[in-house]
Amino acid sequence: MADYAWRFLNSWAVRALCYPRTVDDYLDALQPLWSVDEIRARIHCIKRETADAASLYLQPNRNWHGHRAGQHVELTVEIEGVRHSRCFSLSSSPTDPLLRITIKRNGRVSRYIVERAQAGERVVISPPRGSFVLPQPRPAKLLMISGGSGITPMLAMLRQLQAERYQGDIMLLHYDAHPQALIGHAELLELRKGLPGLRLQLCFTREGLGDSARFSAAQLETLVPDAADRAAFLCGPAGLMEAVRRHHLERPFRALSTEQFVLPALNVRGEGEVLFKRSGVVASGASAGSLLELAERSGLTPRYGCRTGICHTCKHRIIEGWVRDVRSGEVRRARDEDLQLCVHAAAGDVQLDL
Amino acid sequence: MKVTAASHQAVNRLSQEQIEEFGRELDALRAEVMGTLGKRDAAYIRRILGVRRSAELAGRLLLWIGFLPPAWLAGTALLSLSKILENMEIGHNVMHGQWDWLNDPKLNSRTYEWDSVCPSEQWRHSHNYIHHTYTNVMKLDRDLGYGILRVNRERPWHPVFLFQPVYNWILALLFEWGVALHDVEFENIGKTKSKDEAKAQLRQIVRKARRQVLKDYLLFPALAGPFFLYTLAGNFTANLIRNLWAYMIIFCGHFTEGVAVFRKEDLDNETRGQWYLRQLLGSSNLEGGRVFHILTGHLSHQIEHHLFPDMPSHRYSEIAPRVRALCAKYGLPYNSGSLWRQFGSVIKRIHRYALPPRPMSAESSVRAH
Repeated sequence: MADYAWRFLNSWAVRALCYPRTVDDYLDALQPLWSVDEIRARIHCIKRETADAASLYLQPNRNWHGHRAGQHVELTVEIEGVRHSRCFSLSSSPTDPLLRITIKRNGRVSRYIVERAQAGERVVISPPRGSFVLPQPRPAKLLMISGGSGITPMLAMLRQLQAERYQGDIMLLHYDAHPQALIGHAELLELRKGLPGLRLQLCFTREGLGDSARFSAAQLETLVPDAADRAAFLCGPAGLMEAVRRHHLERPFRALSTEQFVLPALNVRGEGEVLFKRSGVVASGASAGSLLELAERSGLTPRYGCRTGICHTCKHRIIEGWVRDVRSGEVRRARDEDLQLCVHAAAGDVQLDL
Repeated sequence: MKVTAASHQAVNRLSQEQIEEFGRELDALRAEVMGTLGKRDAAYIRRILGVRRSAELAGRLLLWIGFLPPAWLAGTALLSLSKILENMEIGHNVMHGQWDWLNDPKLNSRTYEWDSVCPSEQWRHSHNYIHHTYTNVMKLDRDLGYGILRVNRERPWHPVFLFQPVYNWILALLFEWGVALHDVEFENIGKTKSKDEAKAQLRQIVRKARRQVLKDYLLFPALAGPFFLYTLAGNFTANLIRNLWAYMIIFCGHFTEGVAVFRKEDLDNETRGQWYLRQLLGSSNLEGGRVFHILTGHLSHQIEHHLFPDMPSHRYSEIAPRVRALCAKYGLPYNSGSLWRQFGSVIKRIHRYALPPRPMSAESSVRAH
């Protein structure tokens, strides 16, 4: 869409003509990628990386204003008519022509993308988020520690550094189950040509080497003796992140930046802990019959109406958690949806946007 | 539960246990339908959205050449269709949360703004909460006669009701404005509602109404240039048709012959089964074809809608035979008829209850619980 057309469509007058619908509601009929409000992207192609990972190459519309290597986006896809959103790191650098998101199959959304998404499909992405980026000026020595799909933001950073002809020393310490699971191996070997200081240290934890392949102070001492002089970047599964963070407390790196993309494991024992994220209040889920009552007892004042599940006034966003429908007794895991607080109780740990 | 219609004698014969069993069967029906929501339902609502959009675009385009009588007529008809679909099948139902499970920000009950001068936020309060929770309960359900009409015998008569056969039609013509002012609750100002609260609501109504008026009565007509008046008249007529249609359908939901009204005391310790029963006895259906049901926003299935307000509307037609069979099983009435029969009975009641009560009433009261 040309610039003048976009500015015209985004004008006060056109918005007023469309009200209370949005300009996008009408643009949808013409060209699904056009939008004045959203970043929409077309899947240009999908490239299989490993048996259970694939890269999506995305062509965004003009609302995309670039990102910094290491940042992530929230990607929204439609599965069976229902929208689902998840956060993924971009594995492309800002210098690449297309956006790339590399995804390993593990949940509903990633399984859909790896197995069923098609080139040409439309997706919606958020503006880039996160402060997991390379500092300016670039440090002379870098240490990247990643596990599994945690390598994806590292790929973005390495591509960025390659484009800048970075001459410093980079140690990439990567953990994966076995070589077949490693994402972007060929790409890493290719990157090494443009980055003379890049060294790869791959550790495979399920190759019969036992604990020696896992992260430990002793292992780090052997593989990266000068770790303390390096600015470290960390992204991977919760266990690895925890181990590296603990190490950093005892023997600090020059700096440590982290990107967590797996939410901490949730308890599912009867009633759990409820975190009201916006207000920073934590309460025990067992102490009230519904999440609405719990919020009120915790001193919060969410909107409500009927208190019996009819009117939907008390709906709030649940970030993630196990909930029980008090009408039917059904327990389920809810994620990123609007939940009627008056007819749901905590059935495990819950995080609410309230 | 005091029910004021002879047809409801059967309610007396039900034991408390039978009423709860009736409720459990409805719960099971709801769970069954909600468990199968998916692709087909998503495709349905998106198709309706598409039809509405096409109708509006075509209608607006035709009204630009509205100096040609056929174009004016077709344009006005299409714009009316678009507004009816938007208010009834889309707006009303989206705001009930029927489509929240799609996770589509454009169909979210908390944020949806409809094409009406009534601000969605106030509608959600007066309709989703007050009306759907306290359905047909005297003094609590403010939709029962909308404060200004006497539509049932139980409401005390006042001389002003002598004029209701006239001002009923004024309400019909100005329906969207009546709906807009509904949640301000003028009768409660200084009592349960503060002046500041009411003022804030009025300001919100003015802001919303300004945008609606600007669009339909200034911007679109202005785009027609020399044919300003044709577009203006078309837009005005479309809003009027939508008002009359919405008024007629909505009045047939709870004011027909045979619907029951309840007292505040009936809510004491009301069980789930009793709540369902109240919704059933207080609502009435309209019969017609598929297109008719869609144009009423499936409020033609008022009974099913009141039993399951957050179930995607197009499913009401599918479950209606089962709800009806369930009512038959328990010997309960299922108030259903053609639009003309039901609307005829509404008009009859508006005239009958305009007059003071006769000393000997033909109706009898029954107790449900």
